[in-house]
Amino acid sequence: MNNPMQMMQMLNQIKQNPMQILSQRFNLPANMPSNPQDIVQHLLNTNQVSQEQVNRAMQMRKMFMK
Amino acid sequence: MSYNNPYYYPNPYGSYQPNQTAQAYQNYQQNYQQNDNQSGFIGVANEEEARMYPVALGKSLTFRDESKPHTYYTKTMGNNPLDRPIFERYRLVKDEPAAEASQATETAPKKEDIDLSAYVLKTDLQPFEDVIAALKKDVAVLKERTRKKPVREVDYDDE
Repeated sequence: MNNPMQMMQMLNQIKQNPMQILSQRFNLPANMPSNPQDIVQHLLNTNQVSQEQVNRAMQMRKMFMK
Repeated sequence: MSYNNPYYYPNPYGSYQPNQTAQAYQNYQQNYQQNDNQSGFIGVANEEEARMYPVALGKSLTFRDESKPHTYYTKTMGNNPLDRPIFERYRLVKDEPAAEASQATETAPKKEDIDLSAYVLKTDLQPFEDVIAALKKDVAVLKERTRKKPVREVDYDDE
């Protein structure tokens, strides 16, 4: 488990450059377009996330965007 | 009431209300369980959202359009990431039993079912009525003439 300081650092990094964090975490190719649909499709194609997880994430996004 | 309850202690900050995020998450959980477990369809706001929805390789998802009633979409991905996904649009139509359907058509034929090109207006037929009346008159005159004219007898034995 990360301590609060590390968590804050991570949060700041995500705020500043979300693509960099995502690329590191999910090993995204350098030429990956930075739109959510393409990133999620890549994660599905490379079996890093399941369809079920994507469905849940999309549902949550819909609920919070309302 | 609460005030009669000896254990009642009024909250100085007012009644407890979960924050908006927690409430939204609770709603999400309820809706997600309802949508996913009961119908198996993924609700989308429009066709564009269904087209853009990420689908795993070799899988097919069915979407229900929340803005258009009875409209559904399917998006199917092939096994190759380079393949284009197959997107199809469906319209759900109520299937009525044959007897009910025939009865319904007998009692109230729909306007769009009638081929209007096979019909003409009464005013369109007016000139033909005049022509037919004139022809009838001619036929009557001809009949009268043939009745009055004596039949010529031909003797075939005179050859």
